[in-house]
This record gives sequence, C-alpha cells and structure tokens, in this order.
Amino acid sequence: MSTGPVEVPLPNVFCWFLGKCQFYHSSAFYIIPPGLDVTILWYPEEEDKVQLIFALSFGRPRNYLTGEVVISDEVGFWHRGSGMKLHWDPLTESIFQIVYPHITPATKENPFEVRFVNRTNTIVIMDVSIWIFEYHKKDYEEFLEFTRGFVNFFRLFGRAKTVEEAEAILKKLVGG
Amino acid sequence: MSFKGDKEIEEALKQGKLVVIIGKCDAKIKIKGPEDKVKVIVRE
Repeated sequence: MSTGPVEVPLPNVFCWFLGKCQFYHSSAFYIIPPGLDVTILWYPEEEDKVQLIFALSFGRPRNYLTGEVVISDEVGFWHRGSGMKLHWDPLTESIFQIVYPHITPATKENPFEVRFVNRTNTIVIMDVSIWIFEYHKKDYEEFLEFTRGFVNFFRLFGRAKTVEEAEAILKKLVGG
Repeated sequence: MSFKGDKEIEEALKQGKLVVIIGKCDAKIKIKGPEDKVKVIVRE
C-alpha cells in the first residue's frame, strides 16, 4: 500500500487559495479477472472542466477470492495522459508502496487512458485513489499563466552564477 | 472490504469484465470502456 505524504505542487496551492480550483480525490475499486486486456478512459464528465491529477495512491492488490496480497509483474496497467508517456505499471512493491506523483491534466477531449492487463490465473482486486485539482477551463488557463510566471521568474535567476549576480538581476528588475 | 457474493459483481466477473466500483460522489468523473469488457458500478 502507498505510504508517505501526498506532495501538492505549489502552484496548485496558489490556485486553491484564490478559489480558482477545488481539491478532492476519487477512490475506486478495480476487480480484474484473469485474461483481461481492456482500455478505459477516465475524464471529467463536464466539458468545461480540467482535472489535474497530481498523485495516485494504491491499496494492496489482493486475490479477490482469498484476500491474499498479490505481488506480480503479470498483472498491472499501462497508462498515459497529457504530458505522460505510455508506460507499464506492474503490481509490484516499488509501484504500490509509494504515493505515485503525476502532473497530468485530463479533459473530456484528452482523457487519462488506462489499459488493465491480467496474465495471472487470479481475480485481482485493488483500490486506487486519484488526487485531483479541478478547474474550470478559463481558470486553468490562468493557472498556466501563473505557472509560466513562476517558471520564468526562477529561470531568470537561474542565469546568475553567484549570489552577487542574482542581486544584480533583482536590482535591475526592481530598481535600487 | 469484500465484495464477494455481490450478484452484480459476480455476474460481470463471470462474463470476464473489468469491474470498477466508485462512490456516488465521484459521479462527475466518467470512466468509460467497451461495454462487453467493462462494468462500472456507482455505489452510495
């Protein structure tokens, strides 16, 4: 099962503080029969919403019939989303024992895609929580603007090789 | 939590379907897959 804190990206805190987005998580059980290979799409039902996924956390995958923990690279899921390459997540300890960070926006037209595969002889049940900041699309654009400013600010200071150079950049910006 | 014995779930599993169980408060989230392979169940 996932352990450790869910770390919230700072720009999201800013938007939440301004009332520009709402935070929640969605928890679901997935029961995966043997031989299954299927892709599901996960997205906000409302067209004007963006759901920015910033973490996943997992319960222990278990045998549906006996409750025994299942650790296997023969069962798991492929997934991809905006800015996230398609990749395979086996139900092995290194996957489900961490809080799995993401920065993946999902919209109705650009959903989060998950392909479940089970090559074992076991019905596997797992619970997954998906941690989300949800925006109206216009507020998401504002969030991107803020993020761009945040990145550009630190890129500018990244040009300084010494504290003195950084001070000079700051003085040039604000005067004095 | 055990779902064993739940008729809706057992029937979907017999048909080899992925069963997804989400809470009603998650209803703003859409989970969609081919109907012959995925059963989404929204619970209170």
